[in-house]
Amino acid sequence: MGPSSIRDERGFTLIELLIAIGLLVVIAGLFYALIITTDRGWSLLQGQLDTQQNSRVATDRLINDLQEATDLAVSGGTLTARKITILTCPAAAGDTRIFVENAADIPFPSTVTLAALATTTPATITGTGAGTCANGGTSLTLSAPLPASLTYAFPYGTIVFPIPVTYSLSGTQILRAGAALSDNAGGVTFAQHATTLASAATAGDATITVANTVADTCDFAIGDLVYVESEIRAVLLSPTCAGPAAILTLDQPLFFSHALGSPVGKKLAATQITSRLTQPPIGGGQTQQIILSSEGAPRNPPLK
Amino acid sequence: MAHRALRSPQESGVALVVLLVVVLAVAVVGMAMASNVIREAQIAVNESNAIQARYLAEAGIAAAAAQLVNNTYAGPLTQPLGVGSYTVQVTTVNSAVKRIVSTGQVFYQGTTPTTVSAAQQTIQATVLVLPQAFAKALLSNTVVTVFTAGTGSTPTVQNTVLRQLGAIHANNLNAEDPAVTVLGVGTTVINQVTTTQMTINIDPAVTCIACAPDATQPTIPFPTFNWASYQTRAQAAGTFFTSQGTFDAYVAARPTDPQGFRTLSGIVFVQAPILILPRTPAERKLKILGTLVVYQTSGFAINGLRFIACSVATPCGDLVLNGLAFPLGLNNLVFTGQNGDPAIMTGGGVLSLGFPGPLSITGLVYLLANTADPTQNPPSEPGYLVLGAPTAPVTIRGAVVGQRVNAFDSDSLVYDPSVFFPGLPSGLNATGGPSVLLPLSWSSAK
Repeated sequence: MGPSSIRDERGFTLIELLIAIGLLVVIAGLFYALIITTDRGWSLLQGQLDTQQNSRVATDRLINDLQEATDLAVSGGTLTARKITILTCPAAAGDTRIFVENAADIPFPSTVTLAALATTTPATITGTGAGTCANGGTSLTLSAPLPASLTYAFPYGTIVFPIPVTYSLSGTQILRAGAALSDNAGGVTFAQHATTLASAATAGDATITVANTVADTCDFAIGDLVYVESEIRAVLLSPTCAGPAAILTLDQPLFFSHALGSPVGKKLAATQITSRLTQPPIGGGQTQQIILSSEGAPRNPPLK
Repeated sequence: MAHRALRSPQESGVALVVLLVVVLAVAVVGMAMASNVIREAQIAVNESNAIQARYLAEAGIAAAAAQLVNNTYAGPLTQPLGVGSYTVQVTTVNSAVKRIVSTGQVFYQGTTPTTVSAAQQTIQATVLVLPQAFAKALLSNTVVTVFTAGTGSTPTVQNTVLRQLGAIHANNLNAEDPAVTVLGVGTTVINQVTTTQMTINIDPAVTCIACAPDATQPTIPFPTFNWASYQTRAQAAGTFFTSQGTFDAYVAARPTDPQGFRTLSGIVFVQAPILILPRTPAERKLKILGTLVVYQTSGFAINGLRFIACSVATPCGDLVLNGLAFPLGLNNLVFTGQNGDPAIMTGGGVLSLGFPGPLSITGLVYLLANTADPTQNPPSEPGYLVLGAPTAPVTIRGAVVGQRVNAFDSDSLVYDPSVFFPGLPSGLNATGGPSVLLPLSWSSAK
């Protein structure tokens, strides 16, 4: 052990030490780079997940609302789906409550209209009520200032409307009926593919000429539901879309005349939700951006 | 010892420790990333499954709707389709309103596909299912004549509520020509006019919007009438009368409301060849909140003119015959109804010229044949007349179904399918042929 042990106990030379330190530095540097890269990748993934999920949730909810609507309106940065529900049990004259199929979006208090036959009546709903209906549904209590009890009887299926659900933007949030639905959003646009009549239409016309919002590009396709002011028709044939105007053949002639420039749109809301997420400034920061476009059309028939 | 310490074996393990730490760190990060990737993939799969389940649920709604249209729905249906299945059930709310609940589900996929649900979506739709006979503004088993006779009259027949159903149809079973006649300045017809044979004559002066006349349509099965169902209900309620006099006395005994109206409710059946309103001052202000039937039940032989009038069972309060007056001796009668049951059923003239004040009718107007047998098909004689007057406009919100229809002078007929929300007319049998299905509401289960 003696002599050999003494040989083994010799220290590292300076060169050996420098090489070792150098190697350590390189390894540490690589490790650091790995950590940074990994963290960035992690953030990237999380950001993508968040932004995608945010947008998906928002668009799914929006499409559901649109399908449950009878009509919709786009104004500025807001979209309003006018939903309906129906009575699930008949209501008798004098009743102070009604049962509706879906009360989820009826705020309290709110004024709705019950419509059956030529009989319509307004009702003020103040909250959920007692009792159950054999067909299911939510019990709602009626109250003043409108008649606190129904003047007329209303059968099952009576339409209760409108139940407006509004989508809007507040900062970076998408609000649904005033409540945050999705964070970190930006660039949300709601559109109805609106255009205008390129020439006046008269009652009985089954073809109309509409302006192309982009020259030579059709805004409408066969099967689209088109509304010309308040009239709703379907596009019967593939439209010709040359130049600034498109000729649309409608499934049924128009009932009324419409002036040049009258609004023409799809009974379909196209939404483009751009969800953005700005990362903390790791490695200079980054922005995730997911763009989801979706379209939904009301499935409920328009009210008279 | 100091030298020995310098030689300790631990000094040679630094690199290993560093390596282990690095490997551990990389492994943790790698596993986390892998987990994230797997999670994201699962989210994508879930999303895809949910979309497929939703479309499967929609397929179920479409399948049930098709069965309801063809009257072939026979119970809950489960149908495998693609990677999943849909289960659809129709609940009968009443004879006209049905609720369809459809659930689409997607099964777990893999090397051995299972029947374990990976995603599930439910959609509900409430629909109105109508016989075709109740889907037009105006249906005649024979011919239709819409005209104006007075200056300033603006008779209108329209189906702006559900334009796809059409405005006028004539079965034209007696092969008369023309089958449909629309005459007069100021007359308006909105939506399609159809018949089965012969011609459709629409005066150029008529405002005819989206009429698209078509004389090649199939016959629409015409509903038959079961008067006895109304008689039984009236007898059970103690409101069965055998003469005009006993009916008049019954009306006169009703108390008046602050507006001076007397109210009839429940089923009132008058077994007489004719009932004239108003026969007494008591009948000049009358609310009919029930069903009124006037019918000669002693066989089908014509004994003067018979009138059958039905109004509705549920009191809704808007059947107000305000200021109604019919000239005596002209054999006219008007009734108004709701609740699915016809507003008017008659074997003769329905509304006549000359009465003061406007008349509003909500509901179905059903006009029997003026034949020896009101169920005879085709009818052997003409006889159904719905007439207003420029000074006494008649507004009908509902539908008119008649063996022969000569309509309107200053009348307005707007098709309104909501008259059938409470159910189909209980005294009419309208079967045969595909039904018409109208959506009422659509919702996704949350």
